[in-house]
Formats: sequence, structure tokens, C-alpha cells
Amino acid sequence: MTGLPADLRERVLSAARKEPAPTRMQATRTVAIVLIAGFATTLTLFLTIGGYAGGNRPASYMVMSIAGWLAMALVASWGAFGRGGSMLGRPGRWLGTIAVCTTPLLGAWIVLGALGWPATASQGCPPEVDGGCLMFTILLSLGPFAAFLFARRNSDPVHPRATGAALGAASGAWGALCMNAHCACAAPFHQFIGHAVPISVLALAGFLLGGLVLSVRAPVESTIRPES
Amino acid sequence: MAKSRDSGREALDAAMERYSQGDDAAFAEVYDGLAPRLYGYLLRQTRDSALAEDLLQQTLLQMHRARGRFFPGAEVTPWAFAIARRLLIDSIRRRKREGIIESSDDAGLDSVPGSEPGADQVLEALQVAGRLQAELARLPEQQRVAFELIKQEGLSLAEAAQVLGTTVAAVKLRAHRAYSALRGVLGESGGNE
Repeated sequence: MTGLPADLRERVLSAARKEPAPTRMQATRTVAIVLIAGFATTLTLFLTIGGYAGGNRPASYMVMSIAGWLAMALVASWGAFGRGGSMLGRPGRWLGTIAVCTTPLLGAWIVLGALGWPATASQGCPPEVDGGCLMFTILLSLGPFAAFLFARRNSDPVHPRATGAALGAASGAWGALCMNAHCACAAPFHQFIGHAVPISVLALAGFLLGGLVLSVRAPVESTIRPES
Repeated sequence: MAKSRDSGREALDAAMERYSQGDDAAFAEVYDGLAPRLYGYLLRQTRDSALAEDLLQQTLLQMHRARGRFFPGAEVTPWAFAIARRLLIDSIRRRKREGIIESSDDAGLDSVPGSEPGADQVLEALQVAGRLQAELARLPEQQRVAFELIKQEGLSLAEAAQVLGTTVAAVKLRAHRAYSALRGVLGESGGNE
């Protein structure tokens, strides 16, 4: 069998020396800054649109509602962004589950809230507000979405689309949490369309962008040949 | 043998850990630990030494660029193979689009590394190897890749599962089906010694 060319080692090591790469400490710092910036963007937008607004929703209902949405956002983020002890990330099934199931699970939580606090079910909104909330939830999600994609760019050689979809769902969950805290319309239909469905929109966007942003790709001019 | 393989992998993981922390000299150890295996894998897949060389370089440079992401306790080997495989797949797709390569499932004797004319036994062995290669090429991709990663590249089931982004049970099933198909070829060959 053909062995390694004798000069290949030096060529590769030399190429690595010429191209500085951040150490773990440097990379971790960059990722932390980017994530903070992403979530700060969401927080700023949330406060700009008015921040928390309970409206006529009971305090106990709000505690239950926000606790559930926060838990979902945290679990989805942990599942999507965490790598489960492997440089190759969690198995595709995990990521697919996060991408697909976050929206219906929150839908179930919405229904539970309406069952526990029946009076909230009648606190509806005009149809145009559904679309407005949907757009704002997506906007609130963009900060974490961009941050997650940046932090994991060019890193997934196995299932970049699944990772992108899961990151999209996790981002959407954060936007939905903010919108749920702000929007006084507690009717289940409005909450589902305006706050939960955007999670699926973000998951789809992540699926589409995952192959472009997250996949491991060779630079166009990446071969190192000896000068002839 | 298994013990030395494990200690080799531990040394490789430790070298990458040091490299990720900023010990630039450790990259040479990473290269020495990975390059022969990766090159062998890429050469078997591409049958083109220049292309295998390019892909090996790209793989190692990708690992260099991503050294900051390597976290304590992570395993280098499945990560390296997954990157190599991804770059290989992209390269094949690009070359097909450019018309550089054609789909071909031939696995003639001259594609078997180290084939030489010689005694009848050698010729028969080469013919069996050729039939095995042909059968391997006919297998569904999932089964073929699982077999190659485990049997040819020496990855464990867990490592192969990571590289393929699936579960250990799924990899085990795929490899088992590949073994069964290849055993059929050996059975037809008569298993003469």
C-alpha cells in the first residue's frame, strides 16, 4: 500500500503554524461574548416592546406558564447546543426530537394552562394580533439563533441540518418565552399560533441554514502542494 | 493488542487536549497518531493517492482550526474520521458534478492494493478479494460504511456510531447485515485453503 509522502508531515505542520487558531480559552471567551450579545439583543427588544405584562392573567397562572416555557427553552438549548460528551454532538434522533417536539410540547403546556385557569381561555385577541405576535416572537428569537449558529459554525461533519433545526427550535423557545411574558392574550389558539408556531418556523430555518453554516467544509484553496 | 490500542488512543486524546490548550508542539503528535490511519482510509475510499493526500491535509487543518472547540474528555479518533468522511463525500460530489469521475462499481484485481502475479493460491486469494470488493460495493451504503469503519478502519461500535450520527445498535445491525452478505460470497468461493 502507498505510504504517506515523506514531506507531507512538514507541509501540514507548516500550514498549521502559518494559520493561527484560537485556543480553548480564546474560543470559549468568544463564544461567551457572542451568546451574551445574542441574548442581550433579545432582552433589549423585549424591554423595548414593553417587557413583562401580566394583564388580566392571574399571577399563579403566570408563574406556571413562565416556568414551563422557561424549562422548555433551557432543555431545548441544553439538548441542541450541548454536545453530549462527543465532538460530533448528540445523535441525530435527539436533535430531530428537539426540532419537532418543542412546539407540540408547548402546545400541550398551553392547553394545561387553559384547563387549570379556564378564565384565561376567553382572553382572546383580534386575528391580526396573531400575526403580529408571530412576527415578534421570531424577531425575539433571532438574537439567540444567530449566536448559536455563529458558535457552532463549520463544526458539524455528521448532521448539520439536524443540529441547525434543533438550534432553531431552542432559539424559538426563548423568543416564545419572552412573548408569552409580554402578551396579555391568554387564549390557547392565539398562544399556539402567535407564540409556539414560530418555534417550528425557526426550526425550519435552522434546518435550511444548518447545511450552509454548520457543516464542516474545506476552504476553496486548501490544498498544500509542494512547489514543483 | 487492545490494551496498546487503548493506550494509543489515550495518548492521542491527551495530545489533542494539550494542543487545544495552546501547546503548539502537540499537533505533531496528533498528526503522527492520526495521519497513517486517515490516509489509509482515504486511499481505500478514493484509490487516488493525490486526492487522499489533499483530503488528509484538509482534515488535519480543520482539526487545527477547531482546536479551541475540543473539550476535555472528548475523543479525537471518531471526530477525525467524521471530518475526513464529510470532506470525502463533498469531494466526490463536487468531482461528479464537474465530470471528473464516473460512477463505477468495478473492483478489478488491479484495484486491490499490493496485487502481484504469482502462485495459484495467490491468484485465487486475489480473485476472492476482488469478489468481496465487488460485493462490498453492491451493499447498501449504510451497511458498507458501517463495515468499513469497523472492520477496515478499526473503529469501535461506539466510535462508528458517533461518526455516522446514529446509535450503537443501528451500527451493529448494519455491520451484521454486511457480514452476512460478504459471508455469502465467501461461501460461494468455496472457502478453499
